[in-house]
Parts: sequence; C-alpha cells; structure tokens
Amino acid sequence: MLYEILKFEIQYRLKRPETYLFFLFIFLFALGGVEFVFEGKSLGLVKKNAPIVVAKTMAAITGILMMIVSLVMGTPVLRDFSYDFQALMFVNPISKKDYLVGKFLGSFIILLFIFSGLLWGMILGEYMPWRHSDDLLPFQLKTYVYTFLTLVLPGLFFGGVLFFVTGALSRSMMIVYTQGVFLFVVFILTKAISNEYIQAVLDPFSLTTTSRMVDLWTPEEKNIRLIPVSGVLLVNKMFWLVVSFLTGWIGYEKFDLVLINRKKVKKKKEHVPTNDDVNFEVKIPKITLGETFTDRLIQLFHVSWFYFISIFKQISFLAILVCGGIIIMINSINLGTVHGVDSFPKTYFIIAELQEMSLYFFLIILVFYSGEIIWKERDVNFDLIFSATPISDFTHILAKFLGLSLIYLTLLMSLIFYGVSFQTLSGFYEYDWWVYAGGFFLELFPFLLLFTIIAFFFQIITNRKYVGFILTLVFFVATILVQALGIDHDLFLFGGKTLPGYSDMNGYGAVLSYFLLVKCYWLIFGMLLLIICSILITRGTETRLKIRWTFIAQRFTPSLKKSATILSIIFIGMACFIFYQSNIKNEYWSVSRKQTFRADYEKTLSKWEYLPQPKIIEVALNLDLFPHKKEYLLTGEFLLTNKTEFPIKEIHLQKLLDDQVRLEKITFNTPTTLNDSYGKFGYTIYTLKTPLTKGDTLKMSFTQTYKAKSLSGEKPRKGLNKNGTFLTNDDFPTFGYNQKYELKDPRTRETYGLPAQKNRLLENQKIEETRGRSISDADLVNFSIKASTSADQTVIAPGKLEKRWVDNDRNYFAYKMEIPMINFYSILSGKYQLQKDTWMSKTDSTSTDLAIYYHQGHAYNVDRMMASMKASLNYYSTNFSPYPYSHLRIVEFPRYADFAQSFPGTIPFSESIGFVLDIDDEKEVDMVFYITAHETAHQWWGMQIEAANVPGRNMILESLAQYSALMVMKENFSDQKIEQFLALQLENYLRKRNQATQEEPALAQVEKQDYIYYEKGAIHFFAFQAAIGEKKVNLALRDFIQDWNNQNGVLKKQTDRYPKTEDLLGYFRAVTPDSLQYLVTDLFEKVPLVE
Amino acid sequence: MNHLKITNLSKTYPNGVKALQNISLDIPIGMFGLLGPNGAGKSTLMRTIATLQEPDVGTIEFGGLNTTENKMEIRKILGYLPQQYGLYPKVSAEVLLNHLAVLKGLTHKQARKEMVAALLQKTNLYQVRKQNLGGFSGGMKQRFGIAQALLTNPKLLIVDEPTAGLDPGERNRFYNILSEISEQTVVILSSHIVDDIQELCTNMAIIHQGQVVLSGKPLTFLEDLKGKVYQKTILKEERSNYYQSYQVISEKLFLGNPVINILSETPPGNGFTPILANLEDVYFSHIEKNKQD
Repeated sequence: MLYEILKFEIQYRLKRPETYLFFLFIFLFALGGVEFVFEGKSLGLVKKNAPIVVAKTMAAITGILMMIVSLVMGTPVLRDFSYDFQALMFVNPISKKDYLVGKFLGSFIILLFIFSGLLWGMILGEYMPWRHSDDLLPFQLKTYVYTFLTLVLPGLFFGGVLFFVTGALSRSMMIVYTQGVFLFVVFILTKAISNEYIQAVLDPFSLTTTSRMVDLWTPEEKNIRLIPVSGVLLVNKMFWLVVSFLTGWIGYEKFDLVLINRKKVKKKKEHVPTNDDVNFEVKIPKITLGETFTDRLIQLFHVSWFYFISIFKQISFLAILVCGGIIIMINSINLGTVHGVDSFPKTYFIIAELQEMSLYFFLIILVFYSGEIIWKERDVNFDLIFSATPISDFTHILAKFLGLSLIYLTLLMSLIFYGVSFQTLSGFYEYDWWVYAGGFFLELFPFLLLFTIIAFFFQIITNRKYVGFILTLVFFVATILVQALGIDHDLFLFGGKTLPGYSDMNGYGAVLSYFLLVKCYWLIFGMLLLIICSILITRGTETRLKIRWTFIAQRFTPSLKKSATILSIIFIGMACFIFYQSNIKNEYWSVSRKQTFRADYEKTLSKWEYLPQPKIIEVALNLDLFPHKKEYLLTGEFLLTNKTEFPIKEIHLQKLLDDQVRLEKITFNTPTTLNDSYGKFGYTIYTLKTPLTKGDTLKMSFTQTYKAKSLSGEKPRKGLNKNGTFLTNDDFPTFGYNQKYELKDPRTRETYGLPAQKNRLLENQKIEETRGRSISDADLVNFSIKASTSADQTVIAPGKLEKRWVDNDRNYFAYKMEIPMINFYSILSGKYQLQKDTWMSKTDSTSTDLAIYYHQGHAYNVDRMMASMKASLNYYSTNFSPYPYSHLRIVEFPRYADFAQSFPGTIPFSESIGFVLDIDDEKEVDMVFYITAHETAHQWWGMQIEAANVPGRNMILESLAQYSALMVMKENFSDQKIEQFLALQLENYLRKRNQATQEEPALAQVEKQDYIYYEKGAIHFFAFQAAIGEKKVNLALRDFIQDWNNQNGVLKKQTDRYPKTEDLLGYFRAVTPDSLQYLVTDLFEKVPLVE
Repeated sequence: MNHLKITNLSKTYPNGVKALQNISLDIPIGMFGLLGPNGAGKSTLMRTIATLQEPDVGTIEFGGLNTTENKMEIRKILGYLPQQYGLYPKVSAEVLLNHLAVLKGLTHKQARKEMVAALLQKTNLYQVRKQNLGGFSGGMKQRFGIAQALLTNPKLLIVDEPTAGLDPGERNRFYNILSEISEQTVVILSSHIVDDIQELCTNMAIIHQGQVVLSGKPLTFLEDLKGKVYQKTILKEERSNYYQSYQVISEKLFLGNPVINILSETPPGNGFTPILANLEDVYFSHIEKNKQD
C-alpha cells in the first residue's frame, strides 16, 4: 500500500505543470546563481567555481527557495483534505504509516527532481556568457555533485520534513506559503548569536558554517579543497538531522487520519438549532438595489474590508507581524557602523535596514497573498455563487487590490511601530516621522502596489495559481536583470528607480519630485493593468483565456471605457513629459552610451596625456551660488606659466563632463585660434599665436555656469545641493587629458578594446614622478575667492576670511590664502551651526582659528572633533613642522558620499562618518577623534608634502596619516584602546585581502589597495615605532618634511620631481640602528604582514 | 412579462461532451422542474441561464432581455443556488450573508440588516448565525445556500438540486418557501428526484443526454399515462423474459424480489395489476424510450 501511495503521489505530481515550472525556475535561477549570491562582486583570488563558492551559492539558494520546498512538501496531505478526498482515503484500509510515509517519500522524490535544477543550472552556469574563463577553475563535476549531496540534500530533507509535518497538521495553505519565511527568520535569529561556533552549528542552511570551515584556508586551498563534512559542519548537519527526525516523529504521533471528521461531529452537536422559537412565517422584506456611484463605493469599501479582515485574522499573518518585529530588533543592533562603532539609531538608518530586510519578506507575502486573494472564491468553491452576483468586475478586482493594500499598510505601520520602539528602547527619541513616511509610503508601498497588480495580472492571465506565482517571481527577477543590463530608463524600468538615501542636511535632494512623477506614471499604468485584469478575470465556468478574451467587449463597460481612456491619456501625457524631461530637455545617457563615450574619449585623446601644458600659479574665483535654484555662476581667472624647457603652443582645455555645466567666454590675454573638433568631449585646443616660452605667463579667464536639470532622476551627489554644497577644483576647468574619465573595470576595458590601465603608468614613470596627483595642473597656487550664497547659508573656502557682507539679501564672503597652496581646494555652502575655538601653538605661539560647521542637531560629537583637532595640531606641530595656515575648519556635507577629506585648511566631513556616531567610551574606540586626527595629519601629509604619482604614493600620504593619528591617539587614550584599534585594523585587513583580485604588493609599492595603505599601514607603522622608538620615527619625518615640503623643501627646490617611498625609507634607515635595519625592509618593502 | 425563453441552446465542452443539444424551452412565472438523470445537462443549462457559462449556439431571453449579452442586468434579478459549492469556513453565517447582500447591491445598511435577519429566520439559521460556516452540517449549509439565493427578491430563481442533504422536515419548509416565492417569480428547480418535481412544479421538462425529452405540465403527462401502467412482482429468474415481452419502464426491489412497472395500452393480464401512474413512471417511460431510440 505504501508503494501504491508513493506511486500515486509521484504520478500525480508528474502531471502537474508546476512541478516542471519549479524545476525550470530553479534551473534558470541557478544559471546566474553565483552572480546573484555574491552580487557580482569580486572574490579576490578565489575562483567563481571553487568549492566554497559553489557551496555558499547552493546553500543560499536553497535557503531563499525554502518557499518552493514548502509548496512541494506542505501540500500533499492538505490536498487530500481540501478535495474532500479524505473520505475515500479513509474507507480504504490504509495505515497511517503507509499514508504518511508514502506521501512524504513521493513528494520528496519530486522535490529532489525539482531541486536537481540547482545542480544542472549551476553546472551550465559555468558556460554562461557573463562568466569569464580567468575567473574559473577547470570544470569539476565532482565539486557540484559533492556539494549538492552534502549541503543541499540534508537541507532539503530538513525543510521537507518540517514543512510536510506543519502542512499535514495545520492543513492551512497560508501556513504552507509563509512557513518558508519563518525558517528564514530562524536563520536570521542564528545570526544574532554572538558565539560563532554555536552560530555555525545552528545555521539551518549551513552558510555561516561553511564560511567558518574555510576561515583559515588560503585562496589556493579554497580553490582546490572540497569542504569536508567534519568538525563544525558535521555537528551542524547532525544537529539538523536530529531535529528533522524529531520533527518527523512528533508529526507522525500527532497526525490523526480522522481528526477532521471528529472535530466536525463535535461542533455539530453543540449547535443543533431548535425549531421552537423560529418564526418561519417571517416575511421576506422587499428591497431595492442601490445602483448609484455611492452604492458602488459602499460596495467597494465593504468588500475591501471583507478581504482585508479575511487575511488579517489568519494566524500566519499575525505570525508574520511578530517575525517582522523580531528581525528588526535583531538587525538594527548594528546601524551605520563606521570602523566598528555604531551610529545613533537615526530614522534613516532604521528605514534602510527595514527596507532591505523586509523586501524578501514582502515579496513572498505579495506573491502568495495576491494569488490567494484572486483565488479566494474559487479555492473554496464559492465562485459560482459569487459570480452570479451583480458585483461589477472592476469593483471586485479593486476591492481585492485595496484589501491587500490594507494588509500592506498594516505591515508597514507595524514596521514603523517596531522602528520607533527600537529607537525608544535605545534611548533615542529623535523620530523622523517624515523619513518613516518617505521610506515606506513613497518607496516600499508603491513597489508593493505595483507588483501586486503584476501578480494579479499573471494569476488572471494564466488562470493557474502556481504558474502565476512563478511568473510573478520571474517578472521580479527580470526587472532586476534588465536594470543590470543597463536598461534603466524610467519609462521602461517597471516601477521606476528607488529613492536615494536620505540625508539630514539635504533630504532626498532634488530628486523627490521627479521620483513622485515616475511613481505616478507607473501607478497609472498599474490602474490600466487593473482594468485589463477586471475584464479578463475568470467569472463563471469559462476558464480558457481564449473564451474570456471573446467577451471583453461586453465586460468593458462604458464607465470602464471612460476611465481607461482618461487614464490612458494621462499615462501617455506623463510618458511624453518624462521623455521630454529626460531625453529632450536633458540628454539621456544609457549605461552603454556612457561607456562608449568614455572609451572614445580615451581612444581619441589619450595621445595627449603627457603633452606638456602650462601650470596654474594663481587662481582667482568669483562664485555665486544659488543653492535653492540649484544654479551657480562662476567667473574665474587662472594665471598660467610654462615650467618646461620647451615652448608651449597649444592649450588643451578640459571642461567638466556634465550636461548641466556650461563653460563659456574663455579668453586668453594673447591671441589664440580655436580648434573645437573634440567639442563632444568638452575638450578644446587653443593654439597660441605666440608660443609660451619657459617662465612666461598667460592669463586665462572663463565663465562656468551650472543649471541643474529641472526634473531629474539623477541621484543627488556631492556637488551643488540645496543644503550642503561641496565643490572642488575638480569641478572646474582642467588642462589636458583627464585620466579620471577612463573606464576602470578591466573587463569593460577589454570589451571596448582598451589596454590595461596600469602598464601605461609604468611606461611613463619619469613624467609621473613630476606630478603630485594624476591631474597635475599646478604645483602651488595663490588662491583667492569671492563667493556668495543665499541668505541662510555660509560659504567656506580656503584661506583667511578677509571680508564678509550682505548684499541684496545674499551672503558674501571673500577668502584669501596667505601662502601658496596645492591646487586642491573645496568650496562648501550650507545652513550651518558653528562651533569656534582657538589653538595656540606651543612652539611658536601663533594662534589658529578652529571652526566646526555642522548641521543643526548633529552636535553629538563636535566636542570630540574639536579636542582631536587641538591634540593633533599640538602633536604634529611639535614633532613634524609648524601648521602653515591661520585656520582649520571642519565642514559637514550630506551623506551622499562617505568620507572626510583634507584640503588646505579645510576638512569636509561627511554626515555619515562621524557626526552621528554613538560612541561608548567604555567599550569602543573614539573613531571620531581618530578620523579627525587622521584628516588633520593630511595638513602635513598631502598639503605640505605631496608624493610622486607612482606606486607607493599612498604610503606617504595615507599610511603616514594613519601613523600620525595613531600617535595622537596613543597620547590621549589608554593602551587598551590602541590595542583594540589595531585589532580592528587587522580584522579589516584580512577581510579585505580576501576580496583582493591582485597579488598583494609591499607597502612601499602600494597603489589603490586601501587595505594596505590604511589598515596594514597603521599596523606596520605602529610596529615600526614600537621597535625603534616614536621619537626616532618623528625625527625622520621631520627631516623628510624639511627636505621635501612643497614650499621650501631643501631637496624639493632642486628638482621638479616629488618624493617617493624610496626617499622616505632613506630617512627611516638613517634613524634605525643597524640591528633593526631589517625591519625597514620587512615592514615596508616585503609583502608578509608583520605583527 | 417576465418569462424565460430558451431558444436552440447548444453547448459542447472542449472534451467533446455534448452537454446541451438544441434546447428550446418556454418558462413562465411559477415553478418549473428540470428532471433528468445525473449528467443529463441540467447543471450546464442552469449555469448558462445564470450567466456563468457561454452557450455555443442559441439564446436565452428573460423578459425580453438577452441574458448572455446583458449579464449584469440579469444578475441583479437573479437568485442562484449551484449544485455544488463551498463556503468560507472561518466566517460566520451572518457575516457571509451580509457580504453577499452587499455584493448583490443591497447597500442600504438597515434594509440589508432586516433582509439578512429575515432570511436567517426563514431558513432556520438564526440561532447559529454567529457560528462559523466550517462547523455547519450539510443541511445547514444547504439552507444557507437557499438563504443567499433569496437575498434580493429575485425575479429569476435557479436552484440546482436544492434538496440534496436536507432532511424531510427541512425539505418541506424549503418547498413552502419556494411556492411562496413562485407566485411572482420564475423558479427553475432541477432534481433527479421525481417527487420534488411532482409536489411542486406546474411545468416541467425532462432532460436526457443534453436534450429535452419532454416538456409540459406534469398533470397532462399523468393524464396521458392514466390506465396504461401496470405492476407485478416477479421472480429474479424471470426478469429477462419480462423485459423481452413487455415495455418495462422501471424496476424496484420489494422484499428482495423485483417489482416491475410496464407500459401497456391494453390490460396485459398475466398477473399485472393496474396502478395509478405517477411522475416517476412518466420520467422512466421517457428515459427508457430515449434509450431505445
């Protein structure tokens, strides 16, 4: 009998289309599985088909697709009950064992077939066009089969048993749909366990476990070794196997074949009505039916509420509400973490966390609940009664839509409740209601509404619930895919793009109105689709789409026609408007167009990369900022000089490549002819009538205007903003070919036939040594600026504030730098709070004005910054050289970028990396102090000393700043804090090293690998000073500055090149005793990490 | 004048089953019985009248209105009880009836409340109105089905096998309700139980294999058979002989022996006794005739 039941189950399943659809879905998913799971990121030296990669991909996909396991394993017993089949089953002499085991095994065999799609898909995935042979090891069938058997199979077994049991015991379809989510919650819960071993044991999908298994393996090992089922992985698998069997046993014991009948009998007895007090003679009242619009509204409201309540009252829904809370409480523990320190639980952090976490959650709810609500009548065989009522098709579908919308609203409100509770429990009471509303109701809610309509549409078109589920998921994946393929025009990208991150300073930027426009456009599309749904939805017994199609004329009622026409007109109108805004009024740049442009730029112009150009020696700017209008007007004058031996005939001027910027009225104080044949690259060549000979000067003046696109979907970034403008010299005209416009990704470069970037730099090492940075328009410049901004804002630019006045309700500022500075400046404008202080130098008793310009409400850490500036200035001026400027300012800018950066006398500091950190001085390192010290150190390393643009440059700039900041920390904090800091550096270094794609260079040869010049730099410099003594290191650095500083360095004056690491190491060797000389070599010139 | 006119209605299912074949019927106000064995096409016909299914050919008109082209208008005056249906198990009778009342356009709250209460009384569900439908017995469920069909004073009431699952008392009460309504309403009642039709219907049709075998007034049919039906208890072994010699229209068992009814223009003798023909004999005589054709 067992065999018969098993056979029956398999045969039944093999006839069902969803069996093959599930297989196909998993197969297709698995084709791009590695890219999906690792988000297309580089895995460093580990190949993309290495055992650990295959293992993590398979484990993650199995985890994500637990809902399919649930759909397959949760339904067999439920099916017998819902089709009233049980009566038949139970009159036959079937034992419980035969029934349950047969059903389970039959379904499990089908499940294995379905999930074999993962195996085949991942194997074939190696040959997909997006895979590159240099990312892959030779194909190894063993890797896939072994991983499937050791990881996927036990996972499926556990999930299968669990879902089979819950499905059989609960006999509720909604539990079957949502239990996959609950297992996912368990997984999230394990992430919160601080003990890593226990976390690895309890992970039901073995993701953490496999990571832990290979923690200490080298990349080579990871590429070769299969992950043995031993140690913690064995314990993990055994644990879940035991849980599986226990679950199975409990399920077996609890399950009762006649349970449902017994329950019915009991209920019936309770409520047998008596006829005594019944009035059969009651007259049926006469009624009139309401047919006005108001009556329609009453119907709509009532029916929507009916659907809402029917889902709301389900236990599974309440469980989802609770799970949502649990996930949030756990995931929000670490918010906005910077260098191991968490931020205050600002609302925008919570929102970001909630959105990320709840998307998977909501997607499942959306897909299943949509299917369920569309099938609500038919599932219980109520549809004939329902369809014979005169409810209009559109009211019907709209009510279902609104009912679900209310469910989403409930979920969103509960998420807000959880968020606020979390903030309150953390003792943080600054609830930003608008940010909550924006994140949920502008972003997530429309997303849910739109995809619900899509889900409705697929359910109605296919008229098969499971096919509808799968198609909705496929559609969702497809929208992500087309975006990845570069189709990102808001007219075609379903639902439009997401809102940018929120900034306290500048909100969502100027993008909000455009965002709302696009959302409205898509919502109108959604309404049209809903109308289509309403005329196609199955009503009555005709299920074939072909037949339903023939009746649309009849169902497309005049009022629907009218609405559809109006909506279509609005839709087309908005489409035209959006098209006009993004393609005609503003130029539309698709991803491929951008790439082609950059490739062409390089191919056409790179021949002039090393063309000698004059250097700027004086910069005078006149800048009028209109932050509220998002415009600026800049007139500027550059004084140029020829520092080369040869006469310069041509000036190659590069405009900033940005459609919103116009560069006009370029004049030289000598006659020129203009060659504009490279105009499309913003690159113009001016031929001087009389060439500029050595030492001659040339004055160039220009006007640059900026006018932001009126309605633009571009994400706000650093630049001109309503509040928090941050412009740099990079935004203004430059000379010659700009390497920064080159394509960087090696693969993309290959596609466009461009050679590797690095080689060219090496070939031109001699020239690069004379450059302090990649765009080297100047060595030192005299700088002055007159800037104006709106009445509520302040402009901060380099130099001493010479004058400040108000004119025509605008604020004016005149800044002038007292000494020549590097051609690297920032101009900021914003509505700021100001904290001022003064620092007196101990060495020469000069005073420096200290200022911190911060956003209102961001005063949390301003005192720490101030203290750090003072301590840093003290240490550096005592040990290295005097501080050269009369001022040092920290200026906050919006969190569209996450860095702090030093410019002469000014440190723009992102909102996100220090201002809102919640530092626990007991447990944590004061990272705000550290970052400030690091940036202040750049006033020496970078401002006073520039390094040659060759490998090792960042050791001089960044590692020295790390060292300097560490020494200030050492002076001000306990040893234990320093150790803690160094431990964190080591951890970060190891983590980032794992992701590195290139062989690790020595510190002295470092290029763009930040894990080397930051983390390793800090560790090695600390070791170095510990070995030879802080004083000696500082002595070396003092000499280094003396010889190489850009103002009057003894050696710098004799040469046109900038210092390299070889020069620096020379100073170190000079102060290092013979016995420790090897250290200089080991720490800076060799690769291995020395602790 | 609200009468239902079905003209040349045909329907063939995609699997080839000819569910309706050229059916034409005129159905006036009052009770109309559709009699036929299981699978005869009764439910298909009723679903088609109830606007839930499309005929391949033919028209249905109610009060001059083409039902397939004016579905919404028909639904407003329609009460329909399908043969098989389910109810939401976790909703109470009162809530679901109220819900259906809204769906049917009873938007006035007070009127709806009264109607729901009246129908719950009428169908003897008032005491259990707060109880979830999942706990209802077959009979209670069927009574709920009847209640919902009556929600909007229908002018066209279609009840498909309504007495299935009702005990005799409940059946009688249901008949009373129907006859009360049928004074102003076209009521179409289908059944494979002859008694249902005989007790209630002023007009009827017998449907077999998708065709109307007979239609008219039950009394006329009985009149036609008057004095033509004879009965005899026979032995099992003799069955085939009797079937060859006589036009046997039905057979029952009585105390283990077959009792056969035959149709005969003249008294057959041979121990047959004349009996009063009932509708069942009419039914079987036509079904049998149809089989032989």
